[in-house]
Amino acid sequence: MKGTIKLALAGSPNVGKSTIFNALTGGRAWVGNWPGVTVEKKVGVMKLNGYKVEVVDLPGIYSLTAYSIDELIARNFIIEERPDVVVVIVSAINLERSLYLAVSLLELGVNLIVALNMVDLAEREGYVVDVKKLEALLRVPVVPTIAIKGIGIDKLKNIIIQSISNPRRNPAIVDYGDPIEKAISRLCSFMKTHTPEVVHTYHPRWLAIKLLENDRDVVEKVKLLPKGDLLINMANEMRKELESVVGDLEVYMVNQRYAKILEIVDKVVRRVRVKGISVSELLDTVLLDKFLGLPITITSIYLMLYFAYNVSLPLVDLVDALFSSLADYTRLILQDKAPLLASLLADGIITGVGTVLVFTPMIAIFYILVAILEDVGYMARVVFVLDKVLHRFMLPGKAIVPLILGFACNVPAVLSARTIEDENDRKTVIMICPLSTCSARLPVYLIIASAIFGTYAALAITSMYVLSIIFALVIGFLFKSFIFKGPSIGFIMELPPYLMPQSRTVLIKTWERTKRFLTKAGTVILAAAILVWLLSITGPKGLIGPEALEDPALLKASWVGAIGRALQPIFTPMGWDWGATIALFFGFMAKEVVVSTMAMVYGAEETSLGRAILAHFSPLSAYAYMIFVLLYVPCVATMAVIRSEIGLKYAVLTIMYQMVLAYLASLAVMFIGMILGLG
Amino acid sequence: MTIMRKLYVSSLLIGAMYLIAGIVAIVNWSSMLLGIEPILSIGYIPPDAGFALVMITIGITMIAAAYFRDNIAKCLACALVGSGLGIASAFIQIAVTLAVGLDVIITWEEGDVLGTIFDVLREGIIRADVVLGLPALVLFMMSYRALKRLL
Ligand SMILES: Nc1nc2c(ncn2[C@@H]2O[C@H](COP(=O)(O)OP(=O)(O)OP(=O)(O)O)[C@@H](O)[C@H]2O)c(=O)[nH]1
Ligand SMILES: [Mg+2]
Repeated sequence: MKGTIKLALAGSPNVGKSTIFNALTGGRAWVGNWPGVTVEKKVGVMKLNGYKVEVVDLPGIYSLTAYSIDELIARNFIIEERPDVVVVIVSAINLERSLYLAVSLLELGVNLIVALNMVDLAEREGYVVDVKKLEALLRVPVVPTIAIKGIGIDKLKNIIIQSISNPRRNPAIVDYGDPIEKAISRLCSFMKTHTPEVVHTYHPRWLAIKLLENDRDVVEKVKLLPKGDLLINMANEMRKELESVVGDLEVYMVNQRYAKILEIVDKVVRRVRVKGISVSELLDTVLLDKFLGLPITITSIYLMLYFAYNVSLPLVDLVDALFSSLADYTRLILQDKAPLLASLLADGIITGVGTVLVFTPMIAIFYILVAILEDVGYMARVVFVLDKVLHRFMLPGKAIVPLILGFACNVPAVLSARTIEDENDRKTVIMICPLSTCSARLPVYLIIASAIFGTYAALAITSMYVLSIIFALVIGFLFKSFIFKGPSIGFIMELPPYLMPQSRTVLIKTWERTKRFLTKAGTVILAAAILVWLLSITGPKGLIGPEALEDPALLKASWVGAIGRALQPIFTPMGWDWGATIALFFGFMAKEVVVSTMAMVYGAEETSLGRAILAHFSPLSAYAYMIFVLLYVPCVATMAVIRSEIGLKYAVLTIMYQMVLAYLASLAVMFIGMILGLG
Repeated sequence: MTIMRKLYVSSLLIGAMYLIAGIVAIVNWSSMLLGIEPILSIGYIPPDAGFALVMITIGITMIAAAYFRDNIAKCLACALVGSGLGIASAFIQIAVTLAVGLDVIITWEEGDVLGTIFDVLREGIIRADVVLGLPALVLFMMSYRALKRLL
């Protein structure tokens, strides 16, 4: 072993950093065809020529000036942790934009390699990038890659090996012209003689540039170093002098950098085919249309749910039959020998966990469809279409990414709000995240909707998705108007190109999301099922015995019955009985538990949960119940992540407003329904 | 230009059929919700708001091709997306029908299983979204050919 090498993968959003990370390390970082998939750095290891290389996948950044949390993570890693090698991934279809970061990294003085990714797409659009010329202009190695096909990865590895022993830097890539260059070199020599400590931490030229630009973050840090004040004062004086010549110095220097980039792009990009209209642009004229965009989006969501719900039906029923025979079988062999154990297994665990697991096929199909739409690039369009709507509700455009990710699970959704720069905006978005209807709520909708609404189940469920977005918008609007005041920042989203979905990324995402669902069933839901079982066979007067789960009268006397009946009056206006109430009560742990509790409680009187639901709910009260479940409280895991992201105070506030909202909304449904005569 | 003309005229006609089916479905759905007999009972248009949503969306997208007839790219894109959605919804409906048929077998307890399956299949397949899938396919091929020329 020759030692450990630290390598960072940097690049603008959606250029393929995570795809390259996976190709290098064999890792499973999430890849998605939209900007902002990675919001946390991810570390993997590859063995290379006797070195142990630690590869770090970073969130996408456009420049080294950071505004949001994910950008700060990337910037700080590169500046403070000083990786031995930085691979900057630039996109061949967006060279101009992605070179800005490459140039900034060069100025920082890092040991740089450029991976020119997505060359296949550039070819599709009818142009080529001259790699040799680009290499000569940047004076660091450039490797063309097609990350999704693994093309160029071996070459990249070779270059990485070379650059370990032979670092390649080019901090003077941009020539800022006479007076500024003079100032830079004066600052540099001052540093070398008077403040050598500073030079240990930062590259002198970069530091000089940042001081001249008056970069707030850098100035703060230099202040803390010995004689740092001297240096800052000197830079300030020089800036004043220079600004009398060129105007605002920061603007001037940024412009110089852009000029350099344009010059490079001009020299290396060659059209081989006249630019026709691209298919992506063509489709976008309709999919992003002012009027057609929104109906097409809602239709797509509906078709997705309709498909997932119905096509999985045979599998769901098969698994269901499997679990009920398993329960019967368990009872058969254990009933006489160990009745308590038989009841725990059959009535508690198999019924409780099984009712939730039954939906695995449906949820997996739903996840596959979501992953395909993400990969194709349509999800990013959904985001774009809804962005205009968001703006009217004073929410930042970036809010839509968390809200849509929330359809799978609220936890990563809350994390993805890190891309939002403004702190007030971020708090607002995190607090409305739990309103996004996650897949844990699906089993509840499914079981109720299929029992009560039959063929209209998919429609009833789609309405939950639409309502979920509407509630999120309205509540977000209220938060922005009264609590977190401030303007909302527009969001210029870069639309990714339409791509063929990659089976690997689709399967990885589907599997990992499904795994999370299964793990939850094996832990939280299992624990909840055992708890509910325990509280069903015991009561305020002591042990009742497993008979309680077969006799509704006995069950009423159990703890479950006692708590349920104590809370039930709150929900009298909605017409929910104590069984429905206690299910909501235990649903605090996880929304799936609503279903498993119902299965146990209603199992006492009916063998089929569907029939039991039909007996206990009217269509109206069932719909109100679905809305209540949609809104009433985030699951424990989401509460925890809200707490760690923005603090306990806001986590508590979230729980409280959601409870009030859920109650009022379901009450309103009952009320309106009654007026319309639907009761 | 006759190709484009043919394209948007067919798009308009097929779109109108989708739109009508969608409107009938929504009217029947509302009347059913209010407990009235379906007003415009037509066999293969289910009184279903979800179905209506899909049909109306496809319908207006296709009709938009005629509206944007002066903008070749957009006109083509409307026909392409509209017919693409039409084909997708037809396929989804067929897949769903087969799955529901399979489900009948799995959950079968007693009674005439073959008859039930036959009913499920007939009801599921002879539906406006499946039937209109055919003209949508034709429109898709027409617009695809026009697109190739344009590129
Ligand atoms: N055609 C083509 N697609 C690519 C290539 N590299 C990556 N992609 C696709 O581009 C999309 C973005 O890839 P990611 O690896 O998630 O990009 P990222 O840079 O990690 O994005 P963020 O984490 O959001 O900043 C995915 O859909 C990939 O499948 C390539 O070389 N050619
Ligand atoms: Mg990434």
